[in-house]
Amino acid sequence: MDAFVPIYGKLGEGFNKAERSKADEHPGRRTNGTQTAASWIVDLVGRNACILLCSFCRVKFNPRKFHYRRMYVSDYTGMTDGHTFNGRCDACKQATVNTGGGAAFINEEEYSKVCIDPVSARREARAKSRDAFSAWSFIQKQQKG
Amino acid sequence: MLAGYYLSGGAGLFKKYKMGAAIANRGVPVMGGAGTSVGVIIATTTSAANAYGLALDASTYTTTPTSSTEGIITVDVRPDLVIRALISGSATEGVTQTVLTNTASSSTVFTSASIDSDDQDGGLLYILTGANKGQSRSITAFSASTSVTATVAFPAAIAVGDTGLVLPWNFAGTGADGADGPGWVTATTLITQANAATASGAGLETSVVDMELNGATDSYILFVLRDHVHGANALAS
Repeated sequence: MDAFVPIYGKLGEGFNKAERSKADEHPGRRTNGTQTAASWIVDLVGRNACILLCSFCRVKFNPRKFHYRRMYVSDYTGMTDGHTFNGRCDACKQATVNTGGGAAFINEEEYSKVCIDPVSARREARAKSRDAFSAWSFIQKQQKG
Repeated sequence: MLAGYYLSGGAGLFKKYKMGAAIANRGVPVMGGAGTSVGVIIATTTSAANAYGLALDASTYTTTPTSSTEGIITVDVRPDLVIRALISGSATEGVTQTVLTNTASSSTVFTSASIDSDDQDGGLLYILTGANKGQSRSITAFSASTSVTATVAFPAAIAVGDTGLVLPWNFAGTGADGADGPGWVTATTLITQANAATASGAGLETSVVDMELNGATDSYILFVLRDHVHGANALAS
C-alpha cells in the first residue's frame, strides 16, 4: 500500500490548506517536446483564457491581434503601474518575478468581468468628486429625458 | 466580482489550477474541493471556505479531457486581494436595490414598511436624498418591515419623504449578532455580485474593506476573503 505523507509532516497529520492548494496547481504546457509555447498560447486564446507572460515573452505576443487587453488592478502604493502580475510565464514557464515582472492579458469581451478599466474608472471617480454625471451617464440621461 | 486592488499594494500573483467542477463565469471566488476531491470548485452563495482566490477564467469540466487546456483556470491567489462586487437588490444579478422612503421624521430612526424582513441589525443605513444625503450610520436596532435605528444621530432630522438604502454590511463590528455587518457577504445566484436582500452575518466569510455607495443600481462592496488557503489562519489542516 502506498502512503502519501505531507512534506515536513508526520504520518497521520494530513495536509494543510496551502499544501492542498499546491496539489491542485496545474503545471502548464507540456515540456516533453510535444507542445510548443505558441500552441499552448493558441489553446489559451481559443478558450478566451487569461495569459501571463514574462517581460521577455510578452514582446512576442500581439494582444490586439487576438482581441486581448492588459489586465489592470490599481496599486495605490505606487510600487507597480497596476499592470504587473506575477506567476509562471505561459510561454517560457519561468517565474515572472525572476524575469522582469509579468503582464497578464485578458480577452476584451471578458475584461469588465474581472478587472476595472483604468480610463473609465478615473472618469467616473472625477465625475463623482464633482458630484456630476460622467459623460456616458449624461448621454444616457439625455436619451431617456 | 472584480479584482479591485491589493491591501498591501504591489503586483498580483496568478496560478493556474486544475478544476474539480465547471466554472461558468469569470470573476467568482473559488475554493478547494470538499473531502478528497482534487481541483478547485466555485464558491456557493454562502460559503467560500478554503478559498483559493478570484477566478479569472471560466471553463468546462470533464473527467475525459481531449484538449490539453481543458479544465484549467487562472486564479488570483493573493489573500489580500480586495474583491469589488456590484450590489444587487436580490439573489438575481443586476436587480435594483429597494429604495426606501422615510415615513416619520427622526434623526436616528428611518421608518418604512418596505424595509427587508431579514435581520440587518449590524448593517448600514445610507441616505440618498434630503438634508443627510450621502451620510451613513450603523444600524443598531432593526424591526422587520418597520424601521431601522442608528445610535449616532444624523446631522439633521431624516424628513418624511427622504430616501435611503439599508445594507446588511458594515465597516466595523465584532462579528457578534448585532455587530456582524463586516464579517459576511452573501453572493447572488451566479456568485458574480453581492446580494443586499439578506440578513447581516450570513454568507461568504469576508472582511469588508470599503463600500462605494452611489445609488440603488451602481453601488459596490469591497471585501477580502477571510477563509483563504494562504491567509493568516491557513495552517490548520
